[in-house]
Amino acid sequence: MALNLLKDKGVPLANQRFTWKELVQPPYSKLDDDAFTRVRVILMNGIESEALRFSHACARMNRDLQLPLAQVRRVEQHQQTLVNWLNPADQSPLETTIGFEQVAIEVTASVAESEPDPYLAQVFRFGLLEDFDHMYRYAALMDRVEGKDANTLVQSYSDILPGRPTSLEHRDPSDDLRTPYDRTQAALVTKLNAMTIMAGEHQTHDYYMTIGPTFADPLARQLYAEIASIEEQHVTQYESIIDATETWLEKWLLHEATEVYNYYSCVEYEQNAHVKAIWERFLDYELGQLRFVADLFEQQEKRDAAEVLSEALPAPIRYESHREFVRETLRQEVQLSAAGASFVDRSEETEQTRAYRDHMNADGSPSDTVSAGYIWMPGTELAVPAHVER
Amino acid sequence: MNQQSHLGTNRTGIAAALQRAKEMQAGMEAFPPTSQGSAQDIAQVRIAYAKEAGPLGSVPQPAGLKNKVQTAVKAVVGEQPTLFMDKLGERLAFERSGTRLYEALLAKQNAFGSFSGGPTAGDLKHVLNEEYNHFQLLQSIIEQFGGDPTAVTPAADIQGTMSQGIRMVIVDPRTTLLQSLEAILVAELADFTCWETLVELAQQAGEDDLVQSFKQAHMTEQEHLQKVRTWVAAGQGRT
Repeated sequence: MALNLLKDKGVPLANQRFTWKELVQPPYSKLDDDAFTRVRVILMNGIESEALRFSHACARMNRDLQLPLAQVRRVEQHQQTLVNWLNPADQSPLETTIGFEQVAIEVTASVAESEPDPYLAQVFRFGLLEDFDHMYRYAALMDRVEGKDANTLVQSYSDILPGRPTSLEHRDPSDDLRTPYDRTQAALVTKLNAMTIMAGEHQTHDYYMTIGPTFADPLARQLYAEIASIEEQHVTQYESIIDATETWLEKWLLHEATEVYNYYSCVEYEQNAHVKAIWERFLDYELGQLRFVADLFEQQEKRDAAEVLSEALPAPIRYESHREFVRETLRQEVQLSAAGASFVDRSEETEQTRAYRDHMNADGSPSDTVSAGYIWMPGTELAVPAHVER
Repeated sequence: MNQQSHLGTNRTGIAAALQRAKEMQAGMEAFPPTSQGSAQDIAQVRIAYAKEAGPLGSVPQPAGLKNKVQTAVKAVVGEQPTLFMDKLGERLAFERSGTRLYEALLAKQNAFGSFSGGPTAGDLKHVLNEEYNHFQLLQSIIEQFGGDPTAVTPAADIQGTMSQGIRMVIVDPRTTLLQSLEAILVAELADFTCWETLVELAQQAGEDDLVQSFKQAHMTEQEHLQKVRTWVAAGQGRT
């Protein structure tokens, strides 16, 4: 499919409408659909959630944009509902959490591999190893508290192994801020990558904050508290790589381009015909919204949208297993931490990070406790008698 | 911790705020419903969606469709050839989760101690080990039939959804040992009945070896059920 970001008109905003029945579609099957269908649904919910978040922030600071923002946002909100409601009710919050971490692993890996800026590629790989570890800790929780195998969701696309230990991921805020791209120099794919991963992490944080207290098990509550804190660190990190001097309208334009890019990536890979039709519909909607915002941008800023966007979209996000890339990154970079905007060996961490971490872990580490001695086995730990204490 | 709930400031009932409740009820006539009909209207939406919905999912194809599977399924289930594998998967998932539930019960017993007529740690460990043995038995049987014991069958998925509430009660640090036993009683009742189902399915299939194994497991589950009933009765002061 060859899209032209500067010329394709998509569906006009006025025609982007739904009924309540349309918003609540048959969900995908937790048992039969490919894991990447779940990954795409989760990510696109995050992309739309970010659309709303940005739109509201922009509205609070730009009175004259409040009406067009509200008009586009109304559609985005309904898109978000339709997408998010594709998650089936028999998929528990912890099972969905496994899906969230698989998004973080595979989408971040794809982005890290495609990112042309070496420093930013390192930023993505840094976050990747931390989310990779979260998957392992949640899988241990699912096994040991619920007696369920996380791989029934992961479908062996991603490893369930320790990454950079969650207990060591806690850093002082001053060590979570990175160096941003220069908006006048960065490639479009760099900007789309940053926006995509920031959106994914922000929704992950918000999701864990929402469901954390719904768990009755105290260790589950602690684990969600711990990992939600890391996700907040990740949002801080990814937000900081975006040039803060981009204007509001420029950012809005880039948001719409990110949405077009992500729906396009979904269309390219989706195997479920019903879900694919939704991605195609929303790709056309986003092209219509992009046109709407590009026109506003050009009218108000007297700049050509081509200054910010190129005609061609980058190659789509690859929805496939990145096992070897992740393992190689693990071998080479698991020992890294951060000091300011730089990545350093753990031995060179700042005193403020060490002090912060030591304090947070002073009553014990939920992530270490839940996964003490944990080795993922097909069918859970209980499937292998040698691993079971009785 | 006392096994019985104590008297306190429960605010959920209308009697806890009679005056405010009267004020609410006084508003009923002045502010009637804005849409006509009744709670039964909900059924129309459910029916519409049910007619359009696909299934939760499928049972995975047994590897190589071994003869044993073909015979068993044809004999047992007529037009629903996958019922047997589905139910085996369900029971396996239940026993595996049940093992973890008894681990949680042990922690509760450790935290609070038992009560007169209640279970000792040894009692709970004994049941736990038998649940675990049932899990291993089912694992082995599914493999014999060419199935994948790591797969989640639709029936296993459903029982997972049903069991969430039981687990929430048992792992909640605020629930007593007795309350946790009342929750596990629900699980044991289901377990006992479902093993009965497996016995009958195996009998219909003419799988005599399986029938013996399942009958043994069923008897063990009957003992579990009896024990839990006895503990609960003791905790509730019933004889």
